[in-house]
Amino acid sequence: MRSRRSDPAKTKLDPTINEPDPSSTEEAVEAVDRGEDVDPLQVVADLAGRQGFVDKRLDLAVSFGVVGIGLFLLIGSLQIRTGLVTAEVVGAAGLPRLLGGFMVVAGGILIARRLKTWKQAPHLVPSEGGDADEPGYPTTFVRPLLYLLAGFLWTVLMPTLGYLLATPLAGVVLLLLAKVREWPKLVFVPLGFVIVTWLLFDRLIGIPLPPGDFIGRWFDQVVPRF
Amino acid sequence: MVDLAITSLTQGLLILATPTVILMICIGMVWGIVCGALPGLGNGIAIGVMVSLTYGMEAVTAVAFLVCISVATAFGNGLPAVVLGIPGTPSAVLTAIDGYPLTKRGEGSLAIGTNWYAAVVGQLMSLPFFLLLVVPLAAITWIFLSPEQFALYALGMAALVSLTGRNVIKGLVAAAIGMTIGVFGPDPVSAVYRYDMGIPELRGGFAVIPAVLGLVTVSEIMKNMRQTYDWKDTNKGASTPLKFPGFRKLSKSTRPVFSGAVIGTIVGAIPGMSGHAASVIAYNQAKLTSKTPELFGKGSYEGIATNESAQNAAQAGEMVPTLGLGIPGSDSMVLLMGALMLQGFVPGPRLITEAPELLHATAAGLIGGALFILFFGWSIGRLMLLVTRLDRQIVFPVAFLVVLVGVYSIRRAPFDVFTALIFGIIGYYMMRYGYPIVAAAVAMVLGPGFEEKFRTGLLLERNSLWGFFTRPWTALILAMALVLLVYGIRGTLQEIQRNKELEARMQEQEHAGAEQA
Repeated sequence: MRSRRSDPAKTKLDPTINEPDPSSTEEAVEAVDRGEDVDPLQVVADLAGRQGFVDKRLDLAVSFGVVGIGLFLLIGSLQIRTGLVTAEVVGAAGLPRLLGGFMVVAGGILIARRLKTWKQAPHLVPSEGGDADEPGYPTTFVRPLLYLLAGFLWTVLMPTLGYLLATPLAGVVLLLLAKVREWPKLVFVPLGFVIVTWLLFDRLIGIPLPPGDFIGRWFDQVVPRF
Repeated sequence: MVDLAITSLTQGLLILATPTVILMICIGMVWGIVCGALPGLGNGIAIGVMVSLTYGMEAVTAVAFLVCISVATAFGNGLPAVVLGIPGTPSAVLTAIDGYPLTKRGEGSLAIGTNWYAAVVGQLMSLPFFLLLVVPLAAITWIFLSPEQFALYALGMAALVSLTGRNVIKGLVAAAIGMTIGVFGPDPVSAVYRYDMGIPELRGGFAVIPAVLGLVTVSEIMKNMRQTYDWKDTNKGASTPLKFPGFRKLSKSTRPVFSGAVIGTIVGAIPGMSGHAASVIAYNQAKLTSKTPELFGKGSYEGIATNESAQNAAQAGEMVPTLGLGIPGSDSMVLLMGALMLQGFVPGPRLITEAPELLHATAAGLIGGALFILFFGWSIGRLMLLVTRLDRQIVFPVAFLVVLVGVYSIRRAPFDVFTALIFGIIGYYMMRYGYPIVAAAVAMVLGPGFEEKFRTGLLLERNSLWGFFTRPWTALILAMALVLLVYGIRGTLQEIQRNKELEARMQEQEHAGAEQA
């Protein structure tokens, strides 16, 4: 929960900005400050009832994903061998089949429900409990995915570059993605992080982190294990 | 039963005398208060980031450490609420509404003092309630065989599905996704490999901690990265001078603090109900019984006291189903359970009876946390007002890296990091599209036990479903699960009706916009 004021310039970037804007804590606090009557429990109810909105096409795609997982479970269950406990009726494939069947049916219901009102429904539909974006702030799904990509790259590069090189690099990338632009932060935060975590995990707790082919081996010899 | 409760208290105090535990509690408390005080961070991130540090600890130290982080987060979230009007987590919304006006009127010291007093008393009062609830539960479940244990798992999952989501179908799908994750690897009864897809790492199934951290913590960090905020002006009013108000003034809040603590512990003990729900119920009750109900919402000490006391006590309440029944009731409890599994403990109804030291360690964490707040809470609370100035643009990337390093260091297996990242994506989309993550995470942890108990229970009843489901305790517990599901379905139908109306309104707006264009 944040309390920043909406920036009109930024709101243009937000595809969900036209959604109903429920009362926020900050607005309630300001209303109290102005001497207006505020029902605190109503504020909480408004916040709890705050609805997230999602693109109906993506909502449909997620429902198809549920059916896909169900089919994967059902088809995969055909390859599960019978166990040695022959007395039981359920068997090793029992739960996967039950789960698979349920997901196909449940996904089907969600798809049917969405398609039934497809033409009448607006572009953005309520997400039914999905996290609501905070009105007034630009949203992007690219940054979270780039975060994950950076995580994958960190993992792949670590055996070669070593923890001491791969981690500060990943740190700089993540900070840049988080829109940090001040060079002292870009330099000292990743460096400080890598030194503290390397000393903690590798030297103190005794969990060896990959030294890599470069500077790690040198550090390995110079800094003793505690 | 009372013996075990008293033993847990005394053993908890003995555990607290260990230097390592004291050190870890201090670290956990400071970290938890920081996470609570920073809006956007919560229990999921606070505990998730620190799970990796528990690998090298003894189980007792690890439990006390993780429990006290929960305690600290509940205390920390009220600080920015009172001084800045920004709740650290949703549980502190009511504290912000009543606390910030007091700060603006120059009564910030008393407001923060009430927050501190309520946290200490709430935590300490919840402890005996926690023990008195958890010990009988553990004693009852000791006599349970596989069918009854299966029913308990079903009850826990039904509660989470019905109480945490708005659409029961999506809740059930979330639980099914969680159980699907648990299906990979060896079958719990006959040890046959399932869905290994020729990948050697999958033969043992997905490791629990990377998968849970991915679902709960990585997805939460991704969610925070989704929007661009300007965090730099969060320090308005952070330099408010604070002076300890004195115990005489604080003792005026004793009645709402007490009622909040009782309600918080009981409501928190219901799986799926959170500190947030507990605080709302307690606040409403305090308002109804107050001599000055007109002050609620305009700056009321009673409002702050009952809200903070309830949400602090709910931390102990959440541990009742986790330890008494082996059913984690929230995301942070799943992480705690995951950390225990890493230590070799098996979640389930017999957790406490087989490992009572975990109960003692929980008591140590709760007492240690409360004592830490008692002695250092006021001073640290003042310092935390500076912490709210921390740049979250830096905090989230660092938290993300800590999770990755922590996951990697479990087995030094890149596959585990990939697991955490993939489940992070899955969790993120589940969060966005209304599939409750808690249900998935709990089902993942309980899934193997759920399956095993059902199948061994059927063997016990000679493959008779009738015999299985008509065992008295099994039937009773499953009936309760059914009632919860019906309650959830009722809520879903209401939600569908509300959404139809909302969609109709939105479409009218779209049409009006198109016509204007």
